[in-house]
Amino acid sequence: MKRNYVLSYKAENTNEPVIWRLIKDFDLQVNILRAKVSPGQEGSLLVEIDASEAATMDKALCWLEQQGIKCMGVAKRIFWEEKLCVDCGACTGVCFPAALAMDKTDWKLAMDLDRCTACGLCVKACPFGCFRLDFGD
Amino acid sequence: MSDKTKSWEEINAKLAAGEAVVVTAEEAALMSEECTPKELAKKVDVVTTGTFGAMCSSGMFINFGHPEPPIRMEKLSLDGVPAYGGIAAVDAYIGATEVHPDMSNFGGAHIIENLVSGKEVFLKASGKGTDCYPRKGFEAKISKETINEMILANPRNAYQNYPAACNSSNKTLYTYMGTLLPGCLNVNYSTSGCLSPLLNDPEMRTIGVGSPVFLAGALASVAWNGTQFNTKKPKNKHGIPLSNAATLMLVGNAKEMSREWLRAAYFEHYGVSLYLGVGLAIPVLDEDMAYRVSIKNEDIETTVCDYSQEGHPGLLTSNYAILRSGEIELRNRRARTAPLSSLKKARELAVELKRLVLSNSFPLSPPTMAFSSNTDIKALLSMDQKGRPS
Ligand code: SF4
Ligand code: SF4
Repeated sequence: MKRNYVLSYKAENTNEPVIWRLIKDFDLQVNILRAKVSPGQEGSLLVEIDASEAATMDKALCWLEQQGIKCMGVAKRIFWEEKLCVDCGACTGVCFPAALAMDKTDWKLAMDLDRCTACGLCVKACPFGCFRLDFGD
Repeated sequence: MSDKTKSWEEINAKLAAGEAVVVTAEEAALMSEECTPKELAKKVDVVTTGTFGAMCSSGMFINFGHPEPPIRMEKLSLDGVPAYGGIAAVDAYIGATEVHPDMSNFGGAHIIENLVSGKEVFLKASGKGTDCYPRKGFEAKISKETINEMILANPRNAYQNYPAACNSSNKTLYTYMGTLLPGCLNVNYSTSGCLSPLLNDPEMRTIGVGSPVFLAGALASVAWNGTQFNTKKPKNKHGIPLSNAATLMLVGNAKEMSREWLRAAYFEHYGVSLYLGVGLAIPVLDEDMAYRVSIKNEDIETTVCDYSQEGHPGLLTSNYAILRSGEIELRNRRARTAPLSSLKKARELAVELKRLVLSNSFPLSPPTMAFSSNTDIKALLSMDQKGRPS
């Protein structure tokens, strides 16, 4: 199972080689998609984690929490205001992970936010201001 | 009259008797897979079309009514968005793309949407004061209940086809065709394909000055041809122009319109625009019209243009079946395709129009005057210092 998470941490946790531990101790595949770090203070990492089993993923997430690192599924970082949406589709052309696509039968916007990598392109592409992205803070 | 033709009167008589067959343009396209145009002309009387997309060239005339003492409004704004006051004392025109001086993502289209929705808008007006209009300033909240007329008057709507857009440069472009990513990564297209009003009667045999039109929920009228009306664009073998060609100037009572079919939009780094729902009901007069209204997405072609180059040169010709698939092959790579107009709403509009036609709430009537069939457009030339075109 593949999931995208935003890991947010404070400077005091950074001496732990988090990514290395995730790979080594939990046998996960970790792909860093985006990072925002303010030196000496705090940071956020957007990572794609691939685990062979759901249980391993849960254990890893638990360990991260114990280290004081907040994990949040990216789906929870992108906000979409449904009542503004007219299903035009303008957002779908810029969403490369295909979290946004048009349903080819009813032509409604079909969302699979677990695939979202928080690139933010849809925020500007939507003519109706439907999206808001909250990354890392 | 040959048995292959039906007159407007015959179709109207069938509608009045509740015997007419009305289908949407999408349904007609499907039917044509199983029957010939000749058979379709026999079976179907009216075909309804629809589109819901950005139509920048739109705006609204407002008559505010006279205050006491009266004012000749010369400069005015609505919620801070400037409106044109150079027409009589209390008439004004608010253009959809006019922007608020301090808020680039808020403009005329928002004012129009808010007034149509019944919201209050703040009017601020000033004039120099004359003997007959002594007042120099006026401020008040207005709404559709308090003002005389709200007439949507759109110089150019319902483009017959439109080129799709991409960007071959190495930086992202923000355009009225949406976000165009570098390296031709995506292609954006507009128009509702086989549902699009003017693509179902490409020669405009049944559409002209005075034609009834569904405009943002109201029964409105084609006032004239739209601006930049062009009948000389190259056509494909089905008679479909390969890029933007004919247009309509539409007029209707905005007090009867609904936010469901009229929405303000903002395109990043471009500005404000207005999304409108527009639909026409087309009578299937004969075999030729039956052939026109059953046009399929694969037979409607358009040009994919490169918005990063001067003059937006065409890179290839594609069709709406490919564009709607979500992917296109461009320069030996796959590019994502995305619509800008809502097909879902275009469909809903065509279905709503079908209901209105069947219940005799939307009239079918021939135009009072045909459009010109021989027009093209001019470029605006700049002048050199001696006043010669350069
Ligand atoms: S933020 Fe990026 S990846 Fe996520 S939905 Fe928007 S365009 Fe897609
Ligand atoms: S661009 Fe905005 S309005 Fe259009 S489908 Fe996407 S979210 Fe909906």
